[in-house]
Amino acid sequence: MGLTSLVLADARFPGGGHVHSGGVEEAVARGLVQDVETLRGFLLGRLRTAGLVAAAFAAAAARLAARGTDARGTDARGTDARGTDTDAWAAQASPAGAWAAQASVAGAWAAQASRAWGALDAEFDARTPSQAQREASRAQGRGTLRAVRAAWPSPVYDELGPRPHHALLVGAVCGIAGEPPEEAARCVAYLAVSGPASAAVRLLGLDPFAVNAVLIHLEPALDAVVETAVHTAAHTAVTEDLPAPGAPVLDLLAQAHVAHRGRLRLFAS
Amino acid sequence: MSDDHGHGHGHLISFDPTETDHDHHEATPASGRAVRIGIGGPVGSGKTALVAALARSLGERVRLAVVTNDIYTTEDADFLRRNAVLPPERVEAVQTGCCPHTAIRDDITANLDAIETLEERFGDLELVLVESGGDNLTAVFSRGLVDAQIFVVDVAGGDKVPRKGGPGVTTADLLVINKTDLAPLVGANMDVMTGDATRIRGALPVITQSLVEDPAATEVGAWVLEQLACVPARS
Repeated sequence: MGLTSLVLADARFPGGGHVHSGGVEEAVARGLVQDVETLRGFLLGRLRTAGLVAAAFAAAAARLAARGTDARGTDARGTDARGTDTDAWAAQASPAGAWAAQASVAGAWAAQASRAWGALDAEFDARTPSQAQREASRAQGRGTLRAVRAAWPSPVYDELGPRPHHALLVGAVCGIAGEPPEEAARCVAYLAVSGPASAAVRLLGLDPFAVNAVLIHLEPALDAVVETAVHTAAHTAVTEDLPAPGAPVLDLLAQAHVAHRGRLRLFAS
Repeated sequence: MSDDHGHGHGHLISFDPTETDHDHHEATPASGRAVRIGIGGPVGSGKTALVAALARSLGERVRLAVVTNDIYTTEDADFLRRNAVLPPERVEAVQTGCCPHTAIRDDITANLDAIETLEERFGDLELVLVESGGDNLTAVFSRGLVDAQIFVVDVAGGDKVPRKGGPGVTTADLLVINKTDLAPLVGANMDVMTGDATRIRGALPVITQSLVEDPAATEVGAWVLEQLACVPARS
């Protein structure tokens, strides 16, 4: 793992993740998660559904951001080269025509990238039927964006808007930093379970060593999720065909969590 | 309802529940924003009561809003609203995920979001009071979140508290020793408390107060107004 995905997956990363429980607070309130064993089942289900969706979209976002960064980089190198007499660019019969062609390619690429980011955003929305979960995802994206702009500046974020889905933003940052889509997918798949696991420790006073061991036992499932995510992101021609597994109970828990405003709530989701 | 949410495309149906909250702010704007003052201190020391007193005494003169971090999320906000100290739309509550100190120090995202939401709602805010959840003596606000901070301890918590120190007592821009009216009842020696506090804090100010005797928190209010006057220098 590169430094970027390590930092983004760190619980100490200041992106506002610590106030989200990923449904654990509501599950605990309803007695669905009571101990380490029930937590294990909850985390496995979350990993294979919300985790897989997030991982596939992070991988796709990493690919898209890397392409955008490459396109800009090529353009910049081209510009440098045109200023050098010895370069092949200078020998072209009609440099002005070549520049115009290059500019039109860049414009077409920008429009295509913008559409692709929009499609990823819309498809992630479509895979998140709970309004509370969409809000939580965008709230984490907004918070992460603040931290990300300071550490990994890039024009790519303008395409994502002020409230990007968290998984898309994490994927974009990994792509910008030159990390492969696999690391982006691993980062968000891990976050899909590490945050809820930490929330359970805080809410139930569970043995932190036992909970940490549960996370490690999830490794084969996490590897499978990452593999599926990376494979589909690489071989899916249309965004609509990215994985769309659902966990209706997670959607219902998220909705129930925000439904009773007067009730005790320690987490934002 | 807009079908364009800021990144160059529209959705047939908007699935973004937050899109009505316009968010055109860059992270941590450096100027042209409200002054942010943090109010921290242990559980029960009187933070909410101080915020209520300040809102009452300054509310007519200063355009202010409040962010609360109580661990029960809406408890403080409800107190402020119920007592009609501030209209409900001027109070934002944040959830801190069981970690009140994290939300004001290590990961200030939730609080920055709440402040920016208030600033977007009221374009002309002059002052945002950020009340931390009750915590221990080590909790301080990040300088990335607030411009100045008040640490509140109370006489009933024991007259040794200032001597114990900790970052809140030693480094806060203002230390308030609250509930002085209780001193005779709990056998606290005010001279010990103020003496220790002054010694440990050097030149930093200490104010002793009783909101029973002075419900307007006059001295603290004056200090807050002084901070507002420093705005041009700050931005």
